[in-house]
Amino acid sequence: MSRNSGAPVRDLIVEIVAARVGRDALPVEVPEDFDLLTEGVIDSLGLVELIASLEERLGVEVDFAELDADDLTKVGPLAAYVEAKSNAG
Amino acid sequence: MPGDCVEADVALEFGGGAPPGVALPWVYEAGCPYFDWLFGDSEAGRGVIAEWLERPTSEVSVTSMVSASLGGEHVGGFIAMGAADLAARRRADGTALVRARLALDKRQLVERVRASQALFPSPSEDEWYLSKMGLLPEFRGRALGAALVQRYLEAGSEHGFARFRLDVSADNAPALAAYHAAGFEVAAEGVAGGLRYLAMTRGYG
Repeated sequence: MSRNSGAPVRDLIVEIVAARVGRDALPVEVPEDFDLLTEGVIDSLGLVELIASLEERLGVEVDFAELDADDLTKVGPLAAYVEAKSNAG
Repeated sequence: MPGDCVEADVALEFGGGAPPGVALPWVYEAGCPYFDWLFGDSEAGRGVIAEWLERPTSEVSVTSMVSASLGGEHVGGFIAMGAADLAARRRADGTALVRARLALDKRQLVERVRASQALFPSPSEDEWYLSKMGLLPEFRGRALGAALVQRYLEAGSEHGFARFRLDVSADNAPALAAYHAAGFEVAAEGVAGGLRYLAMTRGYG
């Protein structure tokens, strides 16, 4: 169970980012610790747009204060956090 | 030629970053009106910037600050860095902005970050960027600002930079006059969110 934690949100993150920058900007297999910001896939504006789109698609508002800053921009940890928050809320 | 600038040059002492609580008033004011607008209100903004001053990866980190003092008393200072360093720090602050507890929804945040990019075009790789410069209110009107600008130029030169860049609110007449006097010229204008900022540049020498 825990192995797949965040998988649907993870796919959604990849979909949103791909729609913005093109699927080719991402690796074929996106690693869990792939950092969208430091890898140069998105910039600060892209990050807040991703977060806003995620909230809209999932119909939730997420408080990110408890997510480590380094994890916020990594696909796996971001997906797991958003999934946990949306299920809790 | 006798003048206040000469007196100020002699009197001001420069050192590393001041304690965040001491520097917060002038750093926050130097970031306004942009900060008030970005964070939604002044109180929330001051809370965020107080945290960012203590975070080494932030654009406003005290680790990038040169503090000015007069007779041992902190009077103000500046925060400056190279363009590549600035880009990394702005990325880190973008992440911090998402994590900050503000009375803004994420769509409002998107609009503000988009406007920020329009207001503040990125400096070139070869430019030494003046992020913040300011004096505490009780130390203004003594020509100390000219000494601060001079020290900023020297610091950039010491870091190997020969070009200088800053952004200033078009409504901040005293700062505009000081930067013009120091040889800066307006290179671009950014308008967004009801704010108007001027990008100013100069060479060294």
